[in-house]
Amino acid sequence: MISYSKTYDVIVVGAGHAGCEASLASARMGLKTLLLTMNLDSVGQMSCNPSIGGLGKGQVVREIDALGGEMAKNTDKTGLQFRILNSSKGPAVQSPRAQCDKKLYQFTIKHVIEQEKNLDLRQGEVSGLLIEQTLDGSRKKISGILTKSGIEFYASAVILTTGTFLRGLLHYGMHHQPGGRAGEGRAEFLTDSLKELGFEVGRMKTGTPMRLNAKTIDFSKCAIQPGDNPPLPFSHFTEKIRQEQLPCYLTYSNELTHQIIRENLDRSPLYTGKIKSIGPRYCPSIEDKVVKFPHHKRHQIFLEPEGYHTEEIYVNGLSTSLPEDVQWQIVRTVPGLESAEMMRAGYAVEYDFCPPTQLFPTLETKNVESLYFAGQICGTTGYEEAAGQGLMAGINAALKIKKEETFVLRRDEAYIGVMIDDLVTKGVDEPYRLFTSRAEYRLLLRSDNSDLRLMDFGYKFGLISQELYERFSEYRKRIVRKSEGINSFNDEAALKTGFQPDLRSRESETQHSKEIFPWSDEKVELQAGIQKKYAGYLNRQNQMIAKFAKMERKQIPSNFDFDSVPGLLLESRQKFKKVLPRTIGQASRIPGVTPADIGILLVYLERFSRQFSHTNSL
Amino acid sequence: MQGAYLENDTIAALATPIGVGALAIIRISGHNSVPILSSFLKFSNGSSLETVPAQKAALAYFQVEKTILDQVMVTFFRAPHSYTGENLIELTCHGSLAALREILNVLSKNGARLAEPGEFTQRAFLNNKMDLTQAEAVADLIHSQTELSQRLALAHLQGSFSKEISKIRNKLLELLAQIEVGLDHSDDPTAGVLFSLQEIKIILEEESKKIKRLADSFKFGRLLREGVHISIVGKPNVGKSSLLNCLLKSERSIVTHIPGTTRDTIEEGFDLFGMAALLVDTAGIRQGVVDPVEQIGIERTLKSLEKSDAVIVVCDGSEKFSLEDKKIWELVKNKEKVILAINKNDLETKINKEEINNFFPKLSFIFISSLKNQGIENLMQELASQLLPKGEIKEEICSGMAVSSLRQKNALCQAHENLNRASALCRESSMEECLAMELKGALDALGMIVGEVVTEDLLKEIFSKFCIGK
Repeated sequence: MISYSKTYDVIVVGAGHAGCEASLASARMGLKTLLLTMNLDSVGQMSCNPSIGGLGKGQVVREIDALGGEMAKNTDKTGLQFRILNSSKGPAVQSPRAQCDKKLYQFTIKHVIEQEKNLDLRQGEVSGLLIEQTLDGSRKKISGILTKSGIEFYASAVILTTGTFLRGLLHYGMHHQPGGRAGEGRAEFLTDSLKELGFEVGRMKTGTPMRLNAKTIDFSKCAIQPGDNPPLPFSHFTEKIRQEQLPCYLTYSNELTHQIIRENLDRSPLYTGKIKSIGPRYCPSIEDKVVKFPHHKRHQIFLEPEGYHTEEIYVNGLSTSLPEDVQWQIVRTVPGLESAEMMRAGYAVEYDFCPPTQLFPTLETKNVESLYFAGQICGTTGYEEAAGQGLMAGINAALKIKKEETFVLRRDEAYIGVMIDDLVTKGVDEPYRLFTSRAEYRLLLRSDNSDLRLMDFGYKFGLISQELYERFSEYRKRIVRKSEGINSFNDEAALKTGFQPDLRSRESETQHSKEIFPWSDEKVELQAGIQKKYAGYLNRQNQMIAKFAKMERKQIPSNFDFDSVPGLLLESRQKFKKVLPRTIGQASRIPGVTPADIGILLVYLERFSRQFSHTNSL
Repeated sequence: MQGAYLENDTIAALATPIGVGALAIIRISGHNSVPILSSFLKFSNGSSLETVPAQKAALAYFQVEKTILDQVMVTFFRAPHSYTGENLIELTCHGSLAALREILNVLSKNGARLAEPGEFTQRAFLNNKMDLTQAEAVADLIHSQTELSQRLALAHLQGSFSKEISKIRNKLLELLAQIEVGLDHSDDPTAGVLFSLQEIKIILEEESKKIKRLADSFKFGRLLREGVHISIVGKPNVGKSSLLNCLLKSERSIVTHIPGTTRDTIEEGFDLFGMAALLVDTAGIRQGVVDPVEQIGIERTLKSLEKSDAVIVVCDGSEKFSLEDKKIWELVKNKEKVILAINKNDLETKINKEEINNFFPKLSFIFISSLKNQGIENLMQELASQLLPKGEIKEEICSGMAVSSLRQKNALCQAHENLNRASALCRESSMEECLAMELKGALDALGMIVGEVVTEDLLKEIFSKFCIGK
């Protein structure tokens, strides 16, 4: 066994979308960080579709950007088509989405990581976790990782972002083979390590469609889907999208397609019971759609370019794990694809995950101190969901090492907050993805105000530069000036971060010459208008938030003993002990917990805190 | 509902048991208790709630605009020197259920929420007004009360009331799923057929009507729980008190032949075929009263009439009708349920049907003799047929469909408001996200009655009905 001479603050295992954000955040917060990946050539790889954003997800990307993450910037640098979805609907439900050049995306972010001070990027497979006892002996604590090649790396915190690689199994029809992604290996040993540490491990499934060669597609039989003109950038900091924009194409499946699928269900790993794990309801395979909705005569198929320098076309809508020969047949029933050549087949992948109720809202595990999970290991799907968690895990690992207060976003602050609260409180029974309908305060959590909601935090953690923050602050002041008091959440955010931006000050008009780029007076106008449009509704949502604020603020100490509370329903007690809610608000959201349980809990919580302060004063 | 135990909003509740008593206390606690109450309290000494001395009783009228609901003693316990540790106001009212109900109604319409069981005590605890042993008692209290209410709720849930709520809820859930598909999955027109705004509006209005009907059934649910209020009125010495005694089968009222013997209203509970009823014997109404005490009695009679669910007008069948009888008709003609009892049937009857129809048009009448206890059974029957719910409503009540608590009624009204706002939004096509918010609000309100979670149900509805995802 060899110990690596350099000791890190944070080690991030896995360099997908979660790992990239986690390692960048930690390094940018000044911590010595190591990012380990099984394959240096697939850092930040878009394993499935070539797009970033979409309804609900686009908001998350904007939130990541406001907090100082990389995903939006990287999308702007590599996007080949940008669209605002729901543009005919209200601003609260509009979301940005971009098609990206896949290779450009991953090489661009890899380069960002390579250039980052404090961050080492290295190839290697983790085969075990190094564990010690905490000083008081009460808990296990992570102290580093062991690679397959026998090298020990030490760190104060470890973040696991394993994606689909934990004992990944690829299904092509009735044939299956080990692997985390087509053409790559899988992480063989880490699951056992996690089980030994007492983690509950489950299994999930997801899938991807085939890729076709563009030169064999007759696009004249498809409807062209151009992007927005001009393309609007994702990031708050991007001035303009300059690269060439490409169209996508739309075609449809038909009765013949569906008939072939039905005839071959006996060769489907999904329908023969070969795959037992649960896949996402909202990302169904074409065989799922055909079986569950037999009356639908056709389904949409989007043909999306994978990049500028490739002919590969992603066939969005034909995700499948049927055998390769059936896939050829299916493809050729579709208008425009009659003589299409398949370059890669679609497949399903099964992988291990750890039910996320084993995590605190900081994404630190309850079992092992300073060990964090982010991305698909938490039971989610989606690049954006993964990146959001990665960023939060990175920030929290860094804050813990710096002995600063943890960072948890509330449900009324961000979709990231909604997602993590859902994960750690309710757990998952299928791969989790965000929908705007999961948010109670959808009208507040808009894509257009992610900076207003979150940039104070980004600045506080050192992830947003002083200069940009000053411009942002000026932008915010101008909105307040413009809309005279409609503003509702800035004060709250300022309160939480401890910043007191002087919102109400009335500076003389000469201040208007202050530079606010990349914001603009046009954006000020737009934002004030949106706030005005929703004013009545925002007021009502804010009243609701205020109503629940006290519950959210009431903390449950980590050493609180739920067994000491008599009168709780047995089921509720078990749920409390499993989830270990951090606040009364979180406790009340655990499915099946009654208001009476919460009432009783409150009383004993108070008793507990008094006894505690009593013992301390002796 | 989740927030019920930790909200710092203002709560109100009857602090004394439900039932007829001389006095009853309504308690209001929370940071808005003063602003909510101050517009309704008119102090006799001209002071205001902000300026009355703390912990000293002060006399005031509780009035809504010009209408006085009750005369009350107001005691203001200023935070933190109160039971709950918050601004707490106690209103000592007269024990009339109708007035108490009305006051609570006014408070809840103006921002005070009806308290959950044990909530005042819980607040006291949270604001450090109690020690540990007391605190444990609170937990027990919450536990037992909840168990009781859970048992009650369970009984209720098995009834068709909850079935009806669930039906409405499912319909709204289906509608919300439709709207959410349009918002969260708008890029796939092949996912399924969406309703048009016009169709949505029609469904919203239908469901809104159903909710309104349920909310209205509160009246009957309330009658069952709290009892009906029946006033006996008439000119002096027609035998009102002896009728009361007949109905009660006891000598409660002092019966004399001297007109004006009953100078105050006398209230007695009795059982009307299983429904609790409150019989109120009133002072006789006559003209030219000079005795100030009797005058007060008459004013009370008028007040009692106002609160009544039904009125028995008593007249003397052994005399011709007089102008005084006509005056009584004027008093009761706008009441919904009035029965004319023509007393002294044992004597020679001097009035005929024509005269009756002339003086008391369209009233049902019954000849009785309270002296000989004749016709009393018929009178009871007639009361029952007018007061006891009939037909569909009776079935609703028997099957537990009537709304019986004010909290349930408020939840229904909340849902009703949400749906009305939602239906108004159907005019603008770019406001679906607001429409969704209203629908979610209505679903949450209905969820408070049947206790279910929305988000997961909604996703289930979306994924089972629509083919979504690529």
